[in-house]
Amino acid sequence: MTGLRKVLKTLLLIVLLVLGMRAAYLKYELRSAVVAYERAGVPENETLVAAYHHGNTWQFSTYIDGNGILRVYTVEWKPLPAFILGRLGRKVERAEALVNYSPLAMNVSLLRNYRPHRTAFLFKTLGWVYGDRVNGSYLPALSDVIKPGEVYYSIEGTGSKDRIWIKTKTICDPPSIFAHDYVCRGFIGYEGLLTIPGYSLESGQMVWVVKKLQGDRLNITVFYPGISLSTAIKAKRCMNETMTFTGKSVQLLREAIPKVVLPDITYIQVWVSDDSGNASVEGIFLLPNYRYGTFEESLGSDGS
Amino acid sequence: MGVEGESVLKALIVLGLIIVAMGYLSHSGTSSSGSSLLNSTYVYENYLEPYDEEGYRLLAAHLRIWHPSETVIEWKVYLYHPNGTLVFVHITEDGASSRKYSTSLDYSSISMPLSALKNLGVVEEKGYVNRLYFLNETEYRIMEDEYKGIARCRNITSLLSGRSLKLLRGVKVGGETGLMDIRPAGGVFVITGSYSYRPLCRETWLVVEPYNETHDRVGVIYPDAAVWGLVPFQNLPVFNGSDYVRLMRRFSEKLSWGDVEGTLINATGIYVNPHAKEIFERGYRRGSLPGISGVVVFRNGTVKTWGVWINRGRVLDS
Repeated sequence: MTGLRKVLKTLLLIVLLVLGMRAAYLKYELRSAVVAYERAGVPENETLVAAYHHGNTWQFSTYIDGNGILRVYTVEWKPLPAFILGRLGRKVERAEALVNYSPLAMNVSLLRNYRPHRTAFLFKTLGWVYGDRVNGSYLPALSDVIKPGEVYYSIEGTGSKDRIWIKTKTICDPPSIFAHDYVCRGFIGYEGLLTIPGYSLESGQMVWVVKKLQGDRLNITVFYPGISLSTAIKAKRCMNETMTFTGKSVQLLREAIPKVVLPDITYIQVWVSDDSGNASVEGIFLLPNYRYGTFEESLGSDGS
Repeated sequence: MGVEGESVLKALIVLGLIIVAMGYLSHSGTSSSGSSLLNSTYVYENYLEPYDEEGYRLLAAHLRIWHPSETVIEWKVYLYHPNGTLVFVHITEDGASSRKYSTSLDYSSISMPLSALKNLGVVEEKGYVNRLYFLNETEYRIMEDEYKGIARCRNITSLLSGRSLKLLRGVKVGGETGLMDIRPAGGVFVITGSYSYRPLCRETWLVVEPYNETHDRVGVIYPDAAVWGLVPFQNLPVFNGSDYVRLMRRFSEKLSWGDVEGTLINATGIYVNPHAKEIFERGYRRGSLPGISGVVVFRNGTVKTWGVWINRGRVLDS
């Protein structure tokens, strides 16, 4: 009997050791961008447009030229699934791209240049950016994408702290053990817009989308570090009001959200309205611990 | 059980009886004191007579009877001494406490002899009572009761039209009526309504007007009464109130709602919730879900609005 117990104990120890080693190996694998990309399972017909790594998470954004589809593959090491199931968490998001992202296509071989860091970001015009430098300082400011006197239809900006975003998501009530159903309050995110990590609201450095009317066409331009992507769609009949940018909104953006909140924001979406009479910025942002916020700031003289 | 055991048992029974008797006595003592507080003559004779002898006058009295688990009766009595002192006396079944404020305002015109409190008589109503007696000339009237709250307020335009001012400010103490130290007046009796969050119509306004080279005139204006006093010269620019009446009409929609802190008017403009950002930051640091907006109508007609609101919610894939 004593012998059998000894054997069982040894077996259990071996199983635990094997599971532990397997979990540790999975984590070790994520030290390589190439292996992480393999684990993400990206099909060969998709081209890489951005890669982001933070802690135990990798995100790869891809684009399919033929049908204009953006995808984000997220692979994540979590202790429990890694130990028990022996696998990484994997999630795929999909959205119809707002613009043609082919100019951002990168060769997968660039992943080999990755040097292990806690935070890393790969983008065509930037190469690999590491650590604290993934802070949005590479993004264009609002004053870079539109100048006073320029006529436009709409200006919208998005910023993400530590994720790649491509989709609209729903904001719902926090989970509750008492409620089986929950109420949803609205949406956040820009469908089909690749929002890369890092932004600065105070300096107005975000991913900006500027729309301008040209005859019966609506020109959409998305501004990324060192490159802008454009497309034109047929304007709807209701799209006839244009505004003339004054620049007042640049200052408003700086003051819109109290400094105490800024470091906590994980994703933000901003709408800018800046015309000779009135300038305003408004938007929505996400915070940790099941919270979100909305904000509004305006300056004008017509009382509207 | 031996003789020793029996005597221990007896001692325990006697001790138990003593405890029960003490509990009964203390309970009946509380009840009798509580019901005495319903009689304003008792309140005057037991807690306020010494103030009367010192020359204090009655400004207002707030009676509240509520029932969290047992009946709680409390009086908040506001007294004024012509030597420039306001006193808040808080009377409950446990006794009385007081706090003094020095004031530049002359409350003589709206205060009564303290013995007038006796005229309020015995309150016989059952249930919840929340009543503010605010005295004026020769009669007292109920400013606030449990059904209407404070229904009256003073519109800002009546204070601005045709006047030269240095400062106009709507004031309140949290959500309740009370005494507050407000520069430059010192102690001020502030009536705060339960339901009025309108920035342009308030129960209590503080006004500073130019008077002479060495002094300014400070006033506190209630819905239908006002008190005044002189304070040392305030280094604030003078403005014409009528200019702001026009601005208020023009931007009435923006100025109508969202009052948390109050309205402040000075020579630069009209401010609703002038410290909105600080109030928001304090709430956010405490971990609450703050939400506040602020409006500034500058004298040149430019309007600036600002607001941030935090809510609970999570994101789900659409």
